[in-house]
Amino acid sequence: MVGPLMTEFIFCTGRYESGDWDSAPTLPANLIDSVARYTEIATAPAGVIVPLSSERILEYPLVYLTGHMPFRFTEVERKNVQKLVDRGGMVFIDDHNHDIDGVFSKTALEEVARTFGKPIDLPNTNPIYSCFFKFEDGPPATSHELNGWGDNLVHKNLKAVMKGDRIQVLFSNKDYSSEWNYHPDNKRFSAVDNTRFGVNIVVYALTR
Amino acid sequence: MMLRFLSVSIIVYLLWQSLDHGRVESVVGGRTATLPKDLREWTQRGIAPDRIAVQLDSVPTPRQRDWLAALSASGTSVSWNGSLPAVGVEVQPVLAPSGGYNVLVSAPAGSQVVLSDEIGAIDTLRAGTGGARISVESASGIISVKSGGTAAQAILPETPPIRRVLVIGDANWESKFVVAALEEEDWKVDAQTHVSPGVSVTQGSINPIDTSRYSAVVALDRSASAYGSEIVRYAATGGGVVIGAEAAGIESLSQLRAGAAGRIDAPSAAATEPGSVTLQSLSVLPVSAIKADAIPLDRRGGSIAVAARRFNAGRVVQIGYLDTWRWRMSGAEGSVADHRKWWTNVVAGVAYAPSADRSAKPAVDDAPLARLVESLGSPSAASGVPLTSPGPVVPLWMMFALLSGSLLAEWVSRRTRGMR
Repeated sequence: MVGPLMTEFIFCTGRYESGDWDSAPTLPANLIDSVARYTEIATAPAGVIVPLSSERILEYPLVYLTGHMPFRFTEVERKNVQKLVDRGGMVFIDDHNHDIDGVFSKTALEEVARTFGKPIDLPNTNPIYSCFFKFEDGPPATSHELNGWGDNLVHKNLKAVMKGDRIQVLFSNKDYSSEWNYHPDNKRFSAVDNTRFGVNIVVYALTR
Repeated sequence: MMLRFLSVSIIVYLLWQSLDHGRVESVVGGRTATLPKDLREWTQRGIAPDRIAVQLDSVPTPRQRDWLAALSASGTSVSWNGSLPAVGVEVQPVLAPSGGYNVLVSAPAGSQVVLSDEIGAIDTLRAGTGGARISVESASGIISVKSGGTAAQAILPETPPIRRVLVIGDANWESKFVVAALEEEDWKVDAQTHVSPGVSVTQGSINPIDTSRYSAVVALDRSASAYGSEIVRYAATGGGVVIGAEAAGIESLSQLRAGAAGRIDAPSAAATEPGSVTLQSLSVLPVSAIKADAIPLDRRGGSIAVAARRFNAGRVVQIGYLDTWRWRMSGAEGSVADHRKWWTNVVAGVAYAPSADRSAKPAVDDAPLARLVESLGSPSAASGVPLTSPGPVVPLWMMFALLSGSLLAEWVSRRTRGMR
């Protein structure tokens, strides 16, 4: 009898030099809890924080980036994330400001366009909305959107840089970093687990 | 009286000759360079030589070989000697979307081999102890291999239709990047990725696993156990199966696998540094207790990392390498291409290929020395036969003329006897 040998999925938060990369410190634990709770994906119980300036980032084909502050890659960071994406990895960037005119959104989208190519509005029929949980209306709205905070918009689409039909870079103005940034034990107070779309992102990254 | 005696003597001699008694054995020899002329001369003689000994310094052409075989079949003892290189060639289509051919060459170890097609030279290589193998992306017409004056030829085979590949695995990086590698090499991939009980992410439509749909099935891990009996049946009918390291423990695949899964052999920390990961530095679950009919294809240290075997009409390869995605992601420049090439070669190595129709193919000399031995037998030791024409033998026409002259003279003698 051979036990599970393949490397577990390790949730990776990317550390970059320009801003507050660690603005959602409990999000990784919460998403790891959800992945373990709903799926049989072998998942490491703790995430890792890896500098984008280190080639170690290539060991983590799904990298999560967030922040509020102006966002810029250094040359080394740009080279490493380009390599990560070119080799088949995926980057998920969430605007923690929930504001399309905010500095993070503007600068991060500029940086995405400069590094990977111009992002498009991701159709709400993309498999990322149906690969595990079904989200027929596209990306689930967050409480911050519904409360009118930030830019007072409910964003209809996420943005993405695609290679063929595969998402290379997923960009969100939904502020999932606030929505999912709580201790996993507090899920019991929610009628519907709001991290379910996070599970879809992980499942998508592992299967597409 | 003298003339009558001479006539009778000649008739007796010719009768004796016709019974093949008393005639001095006619032995002739030839060389490669003079063989075309010699063959014509030996064939046009009134009585074929009894023995032909040919000294060869290169393999005769198929026509010359068949001519010698025909002389041999008509009663002449044909022998040959000479130190000729045993050169043979076989061309197999690569059963992958990218196409191409694997050219397998047998030639004396260390000899230089020149590979060409109808357009021109393709490559030059040096044969090892097991011959040589070369992959050719494209070629035209007939592949020719020349070594030491001997040329072997093979006709390019038709590539059978390439069907889809089914990848079965858990939702993890290995499954994802195996699918990616195969798709990047233009395979059409169906994938069944297990996520949770009763939930799998399906790519394509998973139909009954049979050779009409799939060229190969890649069972990466234990999630393939649900398809165990189907995979075994598929392999038995000619399908190709790749068994990943973690799938080697599936009980229902035990009759397919090349061996049991051994103890994990993990790489050193230095070998996992970004930019330095290679196939050889990955963790391995070695193929242990290998079956008698299995062949190791790749080793690491004393362990077998990849092994293959036949299972009825199908082919199976068992891989011991774990997490090959690390090679792709953390390897040196070019590791992405290396990773996908490796996976496509693994799949192509077992892919199902319907039997080719060989009946319509023209014959070519794919193993000239073997064909020569098949036609004329093994080379004889140097016989000492003089490689010259035989000594003077009274030709039949001369004997006939002598007999006619003798009879005519006797007749004239009788007619003129009374005139004296």
